[in-house]
Amino acid sequence: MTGPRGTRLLRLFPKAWREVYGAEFLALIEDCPPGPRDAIDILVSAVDARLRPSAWIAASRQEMQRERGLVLQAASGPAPVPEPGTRIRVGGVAAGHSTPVADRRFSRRTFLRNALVGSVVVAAGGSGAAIFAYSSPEPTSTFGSRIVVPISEVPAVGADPVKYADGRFWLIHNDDGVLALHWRCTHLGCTVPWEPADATGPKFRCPCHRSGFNRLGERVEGPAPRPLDVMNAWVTTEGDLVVDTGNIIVRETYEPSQAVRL
Amino acid sequence: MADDRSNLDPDMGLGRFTEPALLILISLAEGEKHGYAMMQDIAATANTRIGPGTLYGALARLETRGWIESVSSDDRRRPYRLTASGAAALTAQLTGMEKLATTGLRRLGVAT
Repeated sequence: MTGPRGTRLLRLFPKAWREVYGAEFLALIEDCPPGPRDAIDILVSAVDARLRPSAWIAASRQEMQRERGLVLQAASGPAPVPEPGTRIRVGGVAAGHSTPVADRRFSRRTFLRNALVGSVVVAAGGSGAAIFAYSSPEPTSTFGSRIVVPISEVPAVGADPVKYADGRFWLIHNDDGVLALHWRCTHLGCTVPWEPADATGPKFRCPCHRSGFNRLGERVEGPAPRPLDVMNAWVTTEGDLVVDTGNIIVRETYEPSQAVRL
Repeated sequence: MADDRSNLDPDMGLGRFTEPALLILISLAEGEKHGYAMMQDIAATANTRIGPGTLYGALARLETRGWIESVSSDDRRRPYRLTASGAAALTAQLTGMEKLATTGLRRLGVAT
């Protein structure tokens, strides 16, 4: 089971790294099959190994020998030198307490590679975050749920509509009852405000293409093809009004049955 | 970098692998172990789980630095052991930490 998966994870590491640590790393993965968090852990380490090869491999043979010379001079005790021939290692050198020379190097190549990988990571992260933000539901909005409006907040018959931004609807009260009008223009979807001082009398007036709708949401002007949509609403046994903002009803005309009697 | 610091070098030049590296050194102070054995030992003694990637990131650094070395083995599960310089580095690090811990505990009034 873990065979192909382990091999795939191992392939994330640079070739030189795999030559040294590949076999035992696969054995380890077989001993403890990696979960999702381990997979991320392995990915991060693989990226690190690619970005900072100097941390695990001596930059060049010359430096390796220079370091070895330093260490052999400095080491007083039995400084263990890797047994030759046991294993192909490019950089298995005792460095004592001194920081390896390779660590201090920051070559143009390193810089360019870091810049390239960094910008790719930033670009991928940015678009990933955008996709995630776009595809996850808006956490602060209650739009789509049922909104309870206490009966005391329902506007009086004939009064100006009241806006419920949480549910994206206008509440209006006429002789037939209460209507919850979805505030989205049926033309191209702009948010429609109530304009009590409109030139041709109070109405919902779309700011985008000047569609006008009367109190009942019926189109009276402009390019909108149909009345504002209504949201399904009802009165609870306690007498409160419930508006289901997840149940939007498309209509061709106003009918008194669309209004909720209080 | 770490040349003229005191004996407690906060990251031993190991970056994000410092703590895992320290745990590995402590684990190997007991005797040679392969990767999986280190993970188990660290889980038992330090109550910390080290992921396989982190483990090998730290192992590779420690080996490059010469603080640990691999033991030749027929098994794919290759054991590692502490080198003399690794033991010295670990001793210095732990001594420094002990001094720091003692100071902190004394200031807290926990220890005498």
